Amino acid sequence: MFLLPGFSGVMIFYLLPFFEVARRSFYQSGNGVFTGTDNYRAVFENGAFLLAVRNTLLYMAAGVPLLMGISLFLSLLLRNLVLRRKLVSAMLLPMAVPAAVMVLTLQILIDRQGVINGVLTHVSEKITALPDFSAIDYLNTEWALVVVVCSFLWKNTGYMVILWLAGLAALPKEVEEAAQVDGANRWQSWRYIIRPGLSGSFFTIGMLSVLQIFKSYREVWMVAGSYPQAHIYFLQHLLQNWYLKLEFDRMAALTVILSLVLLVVCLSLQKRTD
Amino acid sequence: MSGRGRVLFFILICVMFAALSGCGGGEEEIPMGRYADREVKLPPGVFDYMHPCPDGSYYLYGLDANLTCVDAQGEIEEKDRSWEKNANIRDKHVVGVSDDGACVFGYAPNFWNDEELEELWIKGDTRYLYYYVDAKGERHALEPHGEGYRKGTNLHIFAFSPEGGLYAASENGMYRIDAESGVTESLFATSGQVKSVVFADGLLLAADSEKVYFYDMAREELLGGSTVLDEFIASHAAGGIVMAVSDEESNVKLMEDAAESDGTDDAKGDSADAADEKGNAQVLYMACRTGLYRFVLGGSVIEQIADGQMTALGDTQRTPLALQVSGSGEFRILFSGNFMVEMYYDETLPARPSRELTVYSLEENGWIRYAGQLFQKEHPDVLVRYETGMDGDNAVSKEDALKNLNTRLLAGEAPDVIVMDHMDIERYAGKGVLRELDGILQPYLDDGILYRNIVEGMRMTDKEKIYSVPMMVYLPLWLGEAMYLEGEQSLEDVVAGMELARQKHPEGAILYTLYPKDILLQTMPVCLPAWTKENGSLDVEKLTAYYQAVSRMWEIDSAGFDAAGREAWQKNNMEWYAPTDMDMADIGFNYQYGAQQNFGETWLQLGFLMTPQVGMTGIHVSKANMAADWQQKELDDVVTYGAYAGQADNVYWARSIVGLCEQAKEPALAEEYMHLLLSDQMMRKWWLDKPRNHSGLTIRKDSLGDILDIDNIEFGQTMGFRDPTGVNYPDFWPTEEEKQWLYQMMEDADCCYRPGTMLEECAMETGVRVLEGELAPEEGAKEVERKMAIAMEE
Amino acid sequence: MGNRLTAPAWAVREYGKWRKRRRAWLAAFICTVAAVLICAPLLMIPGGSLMDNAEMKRMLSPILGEGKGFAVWHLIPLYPTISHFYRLLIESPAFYRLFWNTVGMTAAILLGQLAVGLPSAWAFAAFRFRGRNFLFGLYVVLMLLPFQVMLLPQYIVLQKLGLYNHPAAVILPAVFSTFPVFIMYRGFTRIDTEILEAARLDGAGEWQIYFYIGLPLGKMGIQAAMVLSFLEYWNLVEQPMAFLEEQAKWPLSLYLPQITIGQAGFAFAVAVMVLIPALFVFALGQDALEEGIAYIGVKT
Repeated sequence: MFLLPGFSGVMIFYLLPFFEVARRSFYQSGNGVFTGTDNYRAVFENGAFLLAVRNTLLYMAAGVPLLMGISLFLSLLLRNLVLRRKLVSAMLLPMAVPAAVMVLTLQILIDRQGVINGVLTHVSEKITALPDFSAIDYLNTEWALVVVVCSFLWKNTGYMVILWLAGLAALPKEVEEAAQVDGANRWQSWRYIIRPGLSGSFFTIGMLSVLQIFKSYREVWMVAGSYPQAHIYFLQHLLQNWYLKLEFDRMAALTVILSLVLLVVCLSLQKRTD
Repeated sequence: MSGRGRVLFFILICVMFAALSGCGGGEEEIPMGRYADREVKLPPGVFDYMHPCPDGSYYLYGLDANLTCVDAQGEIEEKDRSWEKNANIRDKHVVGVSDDGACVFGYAPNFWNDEELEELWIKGDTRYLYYYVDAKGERHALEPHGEGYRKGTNLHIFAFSPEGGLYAASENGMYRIDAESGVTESLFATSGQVKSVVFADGLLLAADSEKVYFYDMAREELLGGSTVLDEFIASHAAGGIVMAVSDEESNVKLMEDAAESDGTDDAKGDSADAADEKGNAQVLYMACRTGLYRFVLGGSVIEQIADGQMTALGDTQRTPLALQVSGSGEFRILFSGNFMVEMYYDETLPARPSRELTVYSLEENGWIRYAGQLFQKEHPDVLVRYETGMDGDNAVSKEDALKNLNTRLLAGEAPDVIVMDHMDIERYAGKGVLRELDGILQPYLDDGILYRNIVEGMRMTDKEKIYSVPMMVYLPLWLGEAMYLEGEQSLEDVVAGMELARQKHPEGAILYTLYPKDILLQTMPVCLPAWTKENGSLDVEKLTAYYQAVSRMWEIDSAGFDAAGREAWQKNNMEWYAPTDMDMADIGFNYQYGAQQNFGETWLQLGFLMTPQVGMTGIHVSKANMAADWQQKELDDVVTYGAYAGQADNVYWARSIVGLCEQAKEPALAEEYMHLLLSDQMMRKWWLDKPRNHSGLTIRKDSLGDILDIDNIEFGQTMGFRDPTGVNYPDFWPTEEEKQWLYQMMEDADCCYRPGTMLEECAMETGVRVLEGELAPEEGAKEVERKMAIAMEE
Repeated sequence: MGNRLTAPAWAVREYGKWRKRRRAWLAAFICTVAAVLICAPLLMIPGGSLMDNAEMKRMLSPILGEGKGFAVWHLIPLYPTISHFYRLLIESPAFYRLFWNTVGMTAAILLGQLAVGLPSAWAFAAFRFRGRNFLFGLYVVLMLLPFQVMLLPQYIVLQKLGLYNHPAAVILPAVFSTFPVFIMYRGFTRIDTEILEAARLDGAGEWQIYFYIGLPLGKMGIQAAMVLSFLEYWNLVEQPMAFLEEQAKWPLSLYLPQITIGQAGFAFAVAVMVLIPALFVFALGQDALEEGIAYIGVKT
């Protein structure tokens, strides 16, 4: 009864469309000929697909734990501070900046002839003890992934802090205080009280980190274009390029695969947290 | 969830499917009658001002024309202004005419022989000269002065009230001027530039781009405006707006559902009420890009009389300049571009078109838009909907626009016609989006009407069919001293020519290139087609060779400067050239233009021939300009031009590439539209109306011949070339020899260059890095190959 | 060991306090540093918005590929100008319309999400029905699906419903987004099912339970969901671009011109005008939300 209004909307705007995607994954786009699993085969045999999967996984493997770790650390520090609200708002600020301006800022900073390289060169010139610094072309070398991960962390830390704080606030304070009175040190109270209490939040925030990884695509694309350096060519580039090339059938197949994988991962994680 | 929940769920799904199954709708009878327009033939001259008189006559005036009165019967009387020739004036500026023929003229003074004026001019502060001529023809200088008028404020609109008072508008305010004494008083300030001033019932109405100011002339005070009107102005004034007031309106027919939605819903009968209350309320008419509207003064509703999309008002290339209402319910509108129409009510036309032809292009294309208007005129029952994917200043990128287009295509809502510029034609053809055009084009080719080689250049390699056809082309051209490039065959020859030029002229630039990107822009079109192998893969060797050649060119060009010198030179030329806002398609024009400005330093030009008229004259203008620069030298024989080849030969740059959609809802109309595009009328018409538009050389042989024909008076009228500094160049006409050369070049062109491909973008981006020395040419080519490999894999 | 400790009791107490305070100061310090680091790049925005194009171009010319050396950035412009703001606020009346579009759209979405998402989240948390886990998993997957793939089918649905080019085309899918459900659900999970059972036994209706037990417990979740949704929809780009044809209906986020450095100053000015109201609404909204939730809590 509570679910119904929400679910009906989800049905119309998400599930039905999703079924349509699933249906189209078995047909050839354009002429609508039934092709069975051809599209799926085309996806798996695709070199670009493998590259994209590898990069996306790498991005997640670097981005998600780092983001979760940093934001959890900050929120543990933050939770009892008086200034909490102001600091959290400040950390959220990058989220409120329009993507286009974010990208512009990034470009100015990380271009090969950008501000960061300028400062680094200046410093290395001043301090002769340091080895000579030659400008790094961040976006056109292996550094690209580092840049992407850093900007991801920069933008999303505040976001995750909010969520951790919500999770922490729900922990009963009494238990922790009682433990402290009993002489538990910080590590112990983290190990035995906070961490088990946050297990649900781990799942939520992990999932949302993945979501944010997917959502960070537009910025990556605006900085580096449709065909970026090979290390930051993600699944979303592939999806977008397919869309631009009218290969909706393959795109649909990839979506179905992706959602099945996500569903399995999600259900198994959920079981573990429950 | 319980059983009840399941039942509810089931019902819900049923409802949902019912909602999704779409809504049918019965056929509707379309009522007859709407406003149509016809062009009015203007007297000789180019006009940009009209003063409508209440009796139906009107005055015309323009930069190149005398003040001309056309009376209600169409009799033309030219007023004598021979004294202008003797006055020290450089440019006509503004005019204001009263109903009885008194007028005010504003001129930009001639500063060539006046240092003080010149200094002011350079500072951007031109003091215009004003003259007042009364109805009897007495003339005296008008020197606006007085309280509230800052000396030097330029007045850009003059208007006489029906009582004979003279009013004027500056950038940010309205003034009243005593025409005899010049005493000026400020009436009120406006937030923007006033666009139109009219008088009604003792009121002065002035519209800027945000609101309409109501000024009571007798009580000398600014009245409260009308919110409805202000909202209307703010949302409609973008492409210019003109107003007129009339109290005769019995003959004006309204459109169905004409009330503006911003008015309240119950406002339908409101205008009539307002009219009753005041006895004979006056009506304000407004013409802007979206259509023609009326507003009863004192009322609260704006009603549409004519739809811009179905009339000349919708033309985005033109701005309405003046509006006249005649007693018989007709309207006369003067547009920029020396164009005037009369709008009349035609009862034989359906009130709104019953069919729709959708034309899509990624970017605004004036020629295509114009064709839509022409098509609509020929098919009154068809509405041509011209849609552009990217327009204006907003966050929509090319990819976003293409995504939206693809969504429509995949959802089965394809437009009828697609302009394929900057799009991947092979891809769209391969996916079955485009219809093959062989059948439509065959008669044109058989009769030798179109350049077969150019059409054939569009044949797709894999499917052996033609899916799109360019309406215009650019041809690559070099310009300079014969010894450097004559007989040039390849990119290597260009490099050799540049080396030779460098030996002769150790200093200065050789090509007009400010930045590395410029060399790429100038050379890539004639090289890009050579990089793709037969099997569709990238020819890395060719690309490497290209990068090597352009690196060398950049080196040679840079050798003429030290770092500081180049920087200074770049700075000097920045104004002419904004690399960040540069569209690939504009490049040729910019180069030609740059050539004229900087020929003193430039020894060679690589560019594109874009228009037979201005292009051909342009070459000569450059010669003339050079001759003026180096007066002692006899350059006419030294400087010449020729077709230029890079790695590919006989390249043409395809423009306005049109394809028809396989899923078109109106395939027959789309086909007719294509025939219209290919017609002589359409291809020539463009030149008549927009001589300075650099859209390309027509692919129709007869149109191209006509345009080049010196004896063709029709075209001759528009041949003048005038540059912004106001100096008129003499017209140069192509010789028979030059014409034959051009025809031959058209006949030979068979290698199509289409801008905006992924390879080009990729090669451009990497190329800049190569020229900046970040990458070696080989590395650059490798990188492009890597990226292309990913793209091919997808 | 205790007998070796000779310090007086007050000293031990003071030492403990001092340590606590020191720890608090350290935490505050670290967090402030982090916040400053995060905000630092944004310091470019106000300066940039006041910078004239010539200065901008000079500073950034290396990035444009027009010069050697490195780009520099003046945090405080040498020749400040308000021309960008003038252009934005005075010369383009469209700005205001787009601004109010954004406000309206965001408000409608947030209210809708509260009305629709909250009960859904509650349903997932408070009831154990068959297929709950699977359904919830489905919600999560739907949340994660990239917009690009949903673009086409959503477009078809919206067309069929006759909503294309109507603000609802952006608002409705956002309202039914599974994202807030997912976040708010977390807030509800701490509810003890026994309490619910007890309440039911006492004859409390489901809605009463929802209002008096559920909402107060889920307040942090609600707050987090609203804040994050606000940030998300305030800068929504892709949906309106795809589903709203008329530019007059667009939100402010689409007003930003294409990224060209020549337009950078203007872009920064727009960013300022997007950020300031966002901060304002943000601060106000957070207070209101907290109060509102507290109010519901009091009523229990």
